[in-house]
Amino acid sequence: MFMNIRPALGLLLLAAVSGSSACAVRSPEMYRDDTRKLLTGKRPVLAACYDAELQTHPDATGKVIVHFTVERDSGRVLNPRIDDLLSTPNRTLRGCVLDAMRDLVLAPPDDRNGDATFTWEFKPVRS
Amino acid sequence: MSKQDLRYSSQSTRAVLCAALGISLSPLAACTHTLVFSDTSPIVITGNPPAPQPPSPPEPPKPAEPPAPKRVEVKQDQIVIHEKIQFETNKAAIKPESGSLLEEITNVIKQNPQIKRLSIEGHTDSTGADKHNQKLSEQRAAAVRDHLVQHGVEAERLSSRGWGKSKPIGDNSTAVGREENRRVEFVIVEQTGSAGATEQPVAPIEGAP
Repeated sequence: MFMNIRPALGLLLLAAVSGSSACAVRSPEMYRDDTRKLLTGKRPVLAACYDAELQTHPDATGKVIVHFTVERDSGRVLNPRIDDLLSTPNRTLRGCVLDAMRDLVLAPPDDRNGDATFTWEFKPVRS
Repeated sequence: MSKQDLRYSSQSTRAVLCAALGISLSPLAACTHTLVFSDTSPIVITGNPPAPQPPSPPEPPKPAEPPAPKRVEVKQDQIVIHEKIQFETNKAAIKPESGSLLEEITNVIKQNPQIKRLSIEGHTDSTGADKHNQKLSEQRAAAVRDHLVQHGVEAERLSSRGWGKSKPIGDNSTAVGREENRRVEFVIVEQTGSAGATEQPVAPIEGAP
């Protein structure tokens, strides 16, 4: 009987090993946190863009909510789009966000797509 | 090995194979799954608005413009006008551009009720016939008087007369002198506290022949 089971056990081990190595998935929390780290790297760019906007519109403020996809296997951030209803109508700030999200790549990539929603909040420093 | 042993062995092998298949496919299922997540905590970007402009200092008050020189002045025995009353050439019709000057003269007379009687006197240069000049000077003086009366000066305070070329103040042989001689004067004949009549040249007259 054990002679017949041994090949099956080997197959079982192989399947488990191969399955786990092909799909290095993050936990949802890790996926979110890693994506947030990726986005916060764009803070300096967005701060400069915001400062420029404040020069002409000192009262510019508000939130920009952006939806995007993190592509599985490549980690590229794709199809960023602004939530029209919830975001500030300031077109410049929206443009700042969309520009900043170009060419973002999550490293290492995940084996699953991530459909993400993040919020940028623009606040002037009041002295 | 009995038949029953063989059956058990076959069942066990099938169970292990199913388990292996399940284990190998479950991560594959995870790989194709899309994870939806959203971060409720916003990423805050702070900006530096431009410093408020300091209030601009108030503009220094403009220096008061010097008062326009008076065109009409009351002297002791005359009302002097520093601008000519313009008439049509060889006529007694007052030109419209003299309207504001006459208005100012009217106001000055009204504001000086101590002037009881005022003689408006016309003069010409020596060009032309004496008779014509006499008549023209009278008509021009009368035209000024009429204008003042029409604009509210009491008629009884005003009289008019013409002197023709008889009282020149300039040299009739020169253009400048003739220009000076063509004039209308406002002579104060009587005013409160003053009894005598005075006759002094006051204002030149324009447009006489």
